[in-house]
Amino acid sequence: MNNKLKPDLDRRRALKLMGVTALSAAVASCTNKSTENIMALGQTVGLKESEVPTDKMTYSTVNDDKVSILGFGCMRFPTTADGKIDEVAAEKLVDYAMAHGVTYYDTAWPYHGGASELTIGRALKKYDRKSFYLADKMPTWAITRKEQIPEIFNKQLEKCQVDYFDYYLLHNLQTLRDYKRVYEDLGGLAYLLEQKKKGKIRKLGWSFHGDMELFKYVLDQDVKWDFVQIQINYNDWNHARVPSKDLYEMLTERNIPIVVMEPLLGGRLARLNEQAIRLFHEAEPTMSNASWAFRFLGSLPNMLTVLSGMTYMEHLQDNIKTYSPLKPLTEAEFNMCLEAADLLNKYQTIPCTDCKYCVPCPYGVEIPGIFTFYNKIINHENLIRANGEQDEEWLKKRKIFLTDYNRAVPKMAQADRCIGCRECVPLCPQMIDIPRQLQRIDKLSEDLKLTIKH
Amino acid sequence: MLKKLRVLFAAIFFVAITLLFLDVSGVMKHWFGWMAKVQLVPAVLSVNLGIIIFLALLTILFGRLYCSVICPMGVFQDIVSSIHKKFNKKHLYKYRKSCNVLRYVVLVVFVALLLAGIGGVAALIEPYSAFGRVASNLLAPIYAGVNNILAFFAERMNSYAFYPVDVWVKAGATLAVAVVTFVVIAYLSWRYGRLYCNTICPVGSFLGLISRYSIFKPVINTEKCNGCGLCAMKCKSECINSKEHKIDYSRCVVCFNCIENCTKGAISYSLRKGCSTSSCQAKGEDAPKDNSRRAFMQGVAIAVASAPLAAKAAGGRVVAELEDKKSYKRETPIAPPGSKSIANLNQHCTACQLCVQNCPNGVLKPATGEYGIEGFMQPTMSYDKGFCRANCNVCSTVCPNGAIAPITIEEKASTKIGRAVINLENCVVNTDGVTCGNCSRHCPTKAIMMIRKDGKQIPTVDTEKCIGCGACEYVCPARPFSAIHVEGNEIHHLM
Repeated sequence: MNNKLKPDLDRRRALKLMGVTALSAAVASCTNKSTENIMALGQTVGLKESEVPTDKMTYSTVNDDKVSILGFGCMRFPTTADGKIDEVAAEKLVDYAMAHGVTYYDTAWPYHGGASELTIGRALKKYDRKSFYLADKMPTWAITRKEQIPEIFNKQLEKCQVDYFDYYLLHNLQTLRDYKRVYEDLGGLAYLLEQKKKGKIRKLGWSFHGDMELFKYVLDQDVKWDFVQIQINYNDWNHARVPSKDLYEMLTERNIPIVVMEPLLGGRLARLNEQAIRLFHEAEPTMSNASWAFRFLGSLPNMLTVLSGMTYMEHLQDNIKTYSPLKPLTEAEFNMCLEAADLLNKYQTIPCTDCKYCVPCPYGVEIPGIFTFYNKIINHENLIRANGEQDEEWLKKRKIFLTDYNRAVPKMAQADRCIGCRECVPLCPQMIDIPRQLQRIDKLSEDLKLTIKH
Repeated sequence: MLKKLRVLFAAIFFVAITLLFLDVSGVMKHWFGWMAKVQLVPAVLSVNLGIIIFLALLTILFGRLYCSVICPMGVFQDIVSSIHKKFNKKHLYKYRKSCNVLRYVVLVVFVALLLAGIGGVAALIEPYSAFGRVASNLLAPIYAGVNNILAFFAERMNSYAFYPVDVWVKAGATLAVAVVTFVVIAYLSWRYGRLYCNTICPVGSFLGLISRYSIFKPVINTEKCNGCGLCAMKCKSECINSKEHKIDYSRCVVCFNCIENCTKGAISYSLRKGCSTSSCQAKGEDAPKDNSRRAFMQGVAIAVASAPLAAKAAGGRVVAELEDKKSYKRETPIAPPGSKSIANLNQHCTACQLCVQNCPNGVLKPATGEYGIEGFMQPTMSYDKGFCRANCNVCSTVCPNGAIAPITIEEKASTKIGRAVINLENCVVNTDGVTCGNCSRHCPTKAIMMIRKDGKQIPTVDTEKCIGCGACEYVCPARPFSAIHVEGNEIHHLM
């Protein structure tokens, strides 16, 4: 890791940063020379720490808070071999983010099996409470009794070691039925509004994974929503089930600031297929794939912050660099991103973001692992039909498919174990018909196995 | 020179046959599969007359070259002996008298057991299959482990040259037999060279009957011989009586060590000559030889007489052995497609484990009690690690014994080796209250239908269509016992 700063130096620098006035993104992009120098060196991926500006972060101007347009998502902390959060590495990331002007930290009840809130609470404890904004969420799907709502809320304050949340969300609104049940029938919304009055919540909003009907219904409630968190990225702008563009425009019309989640679709927009990579790199040979996704979002008006779950220091550094300061996309570049999305959608990848809400599967299927494997096959253009002509190329791809499958997922957790009980279906924020996709992948792998001549 | 040639050929055979048992890639069987088929007992059991005649001619011409080159267990013993020699240069052999009674009694009993269809017991001392069990149980896991280490690095280098394979103990009893075999034979060869081959091994005893009359053989020239006894000390068969200038050709495995070591050049590998040679002198030793011949003939008579009796006893055991089993242990084990019937498998198989090792779907495992004593260590189907895919007939192509006779893919796809049995009490539809249908979805012959009963979708089997491949049992989510499992068909038949 490149971070050589000592913690006390970190803090000093972070506090100093807090005093720096926000730079206008447009101005910065015209005047900043360091960015150009770095690009001239041809180093973007695996860049050195010295190339990451500490005091050039772009801040949102959509409300009175000084929110960095890069938000720190706490769903993808680094983990140790046993799956637990690597506390040392996680704290280092948070310290680094603080030192480089990142002010927004987003956690939730289910992240890392409940450990995310504890980790971010510990990591931020040493900083002045006013130097960062902390967001947490009410786990809508987990609420079955009225008493749970205050229980969970107070537990969250305790876990995060704070007296109040800057931003608080109704987490993962997916169905109108669940919304009405938890926030109307069980009084969830009234309780949260009361907490806002008490000052335990500064800004109230919701995160959304549902359909248009639900979106309109919640938006039309007689509540002042301070912000809404939705999934936007250049891929989903036109291609999603509920296109990001429509949601974005409705919120912007109403002047409701937007928090963006899944800017990279769980890394899928960083791991592009060859055609899309070619498109971006021919335009800007030295910029990372991810930077395009972030610039796309940063260039849109009405953004509060763009959340990114940055597992590794190089991700954090790359993103900070992209937004320090933001260099907005030109119209041509904006359209190029949409063109890349068209290229990506030519291949039928599964829109899984590896959020792991669906697991553990009661029958032991490693769902996200299977989808990640399958998308990798597609993006590397290794997908074949079982009845294809068995030339050398085809045989090579069959070997890659079957070998990668076994490498990615243990045999007993593969798609043939899916019985179609559909327990995972309501848990998927991307509304993937998981059993259908698993059975499709299983059918393909079984058909491929049957083509082997022993 | 002769010894070098012998060692060269032995090395080629040994490495190739061993690889046949260790292979994880599935290609070795195409190159070296024939080496298992030229083994004597497999050739006899599969009634491969060409091979039998070839081996008989080879032996009558050159002596027991088979034991020195073709038999992997023989070569294995030579390897152990030579390692011993490396450690202890002073280790020497000495002539001992042939233990003919034991030899031929063992041979007769072995033949009797084979005729009786109790191959599982006979196989314990059969050299090729004993070697197969040692290689597959003791060496193969090491080989696979090395492969998996390479696969680990290959994955990190984005290479597809190696991929990981499962390593697991398929049957504890067979592993134990392999360990005992290894220890006993390694010990005997460490101390006494080819003692096993010349007292226990039925193949050695049988070939010995022929090799006594072999045309080429090592001959001691008494005129040149100074009686130093070096040849006897170097003879791992311990069959050279140097004092009397005699060689017991029934025990000699023509390793050429004596010729190589004789400082006087008194031993030569040459044509049988007149009465002046040692082979003629051996006639003086009539009594023991006659005894052995008599013992052999008696044994044959006993074996012939008792064979039908033993076969009858063997027939009823299969079901009886497992009758009282509860839960879902199969009442009838499943024999692999091509074996025609459990009885046929039991009669022909020497449990060499070649099919088990080469099964790409991890289905075959050595039986412990499934077939009863007569089928001990013979292959049986287990659907814990996979199921019998329609595109595979590997076991039938590698089997040297004809126990799993060659079967085409098409024939296999319609051969009923068993049938699925459902236990609805275990079915997750009932235990977990979920919808499932995984068995139906994975059935390659569409023999499992989901029907509506009491408001639930439950599976039913059309036994006419079921071939017993085990896909349903393999993918069934019910734990600890699958709610659907396959019962074997004692006699296989077409759909």
